[in-house]
Amino acid sequence: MDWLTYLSFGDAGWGDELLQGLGVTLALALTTLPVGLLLGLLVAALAMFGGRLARSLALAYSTTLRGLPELLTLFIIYHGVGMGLNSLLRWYDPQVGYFELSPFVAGVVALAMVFAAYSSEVWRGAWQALDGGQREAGQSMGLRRLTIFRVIELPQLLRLALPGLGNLWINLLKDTALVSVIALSDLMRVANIAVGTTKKPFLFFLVVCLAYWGVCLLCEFLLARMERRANRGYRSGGAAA
Amino acid sequence: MTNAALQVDGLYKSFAGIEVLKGISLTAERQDVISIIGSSGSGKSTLLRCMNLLEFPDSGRLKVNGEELELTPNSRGVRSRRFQRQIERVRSRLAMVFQSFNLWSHMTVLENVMLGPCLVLKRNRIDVEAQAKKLLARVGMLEKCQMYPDCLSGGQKQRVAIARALAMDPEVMLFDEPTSALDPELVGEVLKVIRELAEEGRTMIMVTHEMRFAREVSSKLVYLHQGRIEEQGCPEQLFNAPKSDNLRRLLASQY
Repeated sequence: MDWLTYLSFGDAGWGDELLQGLGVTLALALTTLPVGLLLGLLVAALAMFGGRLARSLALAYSTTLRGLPELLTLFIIYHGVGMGLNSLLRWYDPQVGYFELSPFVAGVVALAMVFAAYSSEVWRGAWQALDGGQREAGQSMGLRRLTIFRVIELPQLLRLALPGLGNLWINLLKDTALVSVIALSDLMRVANIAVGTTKKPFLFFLVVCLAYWGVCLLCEFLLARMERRANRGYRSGGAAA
Repeated sequence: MTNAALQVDGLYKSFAGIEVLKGISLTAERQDVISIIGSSGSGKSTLLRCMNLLEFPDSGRLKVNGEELELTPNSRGVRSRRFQRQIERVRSRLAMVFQSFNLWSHMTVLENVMLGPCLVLKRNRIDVEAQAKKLLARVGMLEKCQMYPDCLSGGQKQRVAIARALAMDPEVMLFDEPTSALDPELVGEVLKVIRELAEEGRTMIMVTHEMRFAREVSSKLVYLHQGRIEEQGCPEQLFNAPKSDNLRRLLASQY
């Protein structure tokens, strides 16, 4: 068989499976992103403005999650939390059946927790770079705290955090490959199966390589555009004045 | 007396155990232009920031247009929703112009001026835009209304900040050293705008180092020294015959 047949769609080739795998990879990353961003922002807010307890919890969270290998976090969520949920369910109702934590949900939770830990530091840095006078100008006008956050602080935070967050997003795209070990059919796992069946590692890994690389290039292009848009009106890349 | 634009009574404020304001009482009647002078560290800016509660006074009374704020010590920590709303209402009546402009850097000049009226006063966008353009024309910034603050000079920024404050149609305007961050050649354009506001009868309280300007536009001068009002009165009297030795020294060094 020549390489086109291997990659063809239909029963003989792996083209449709690989495309589905890419779909799972992208779905996983895109679902993780908003969860991780919001959780990270929350952790950063607690670390900066919370009481003593909230501050130490936030610190413990980001230190722990950044200190663990991501694969371990994934195992803890997939196996540990699954088991915990089941014993909790059985304690509540012994007749209840076995509850299976879906690999997709486990993947999103684990990746989002890791993303939150890293992004909380990016948010925190951006918040510290934000000039307090911006907030005071809003306060002095009688704007509510939440409105100030929404219309004054958040847009500027996004501008300052964008380069760091973009970096994390590219990382996340590739970290999704980890979920292949918990039997989620993402791009990496499909490729592995294809290699196992066809014994053509170079072909399939090259295709996977090009797929990840292509997606990352596209993202970098989009991020550059977002950065240009966020920076309009600023003469230099310096902090908000 | 009851309907003074702004009334401060027995204001105390300390930072980390150091008393910065030691019982300040001050009344701004309608159309008053009050300049607060004093050497640095005398508490001028803190006093101004206490007036719109950017700093929370330790004790004292604050009355804006007849509405009194309950500044009890326990209102510092846990603030009730109602009290927070009252603070916001009072702040919306007292527009502030900052030394460092504090224009919102991600918004155009026009958006800066429109934000308060739209989101605080909840006024119709079309009316707000028309009024904002009128105010920008007044301070000579209309042709820059689509620019971002970072592209403006300091004097231009401060004129926009004044238009932004005016857009709230405030009871009292608070100026916190409005020309101290400007290059000398840009001070004039900002003072000209403030002078026009004074002449049209705006109630203003201004912290300033521009002695000559304070003397010309103020209806009342307040000299702050080490957290207390050491002397106050009409500008001529304070400049020509200061009773306080400290004030005499300050005037001699600057004027």
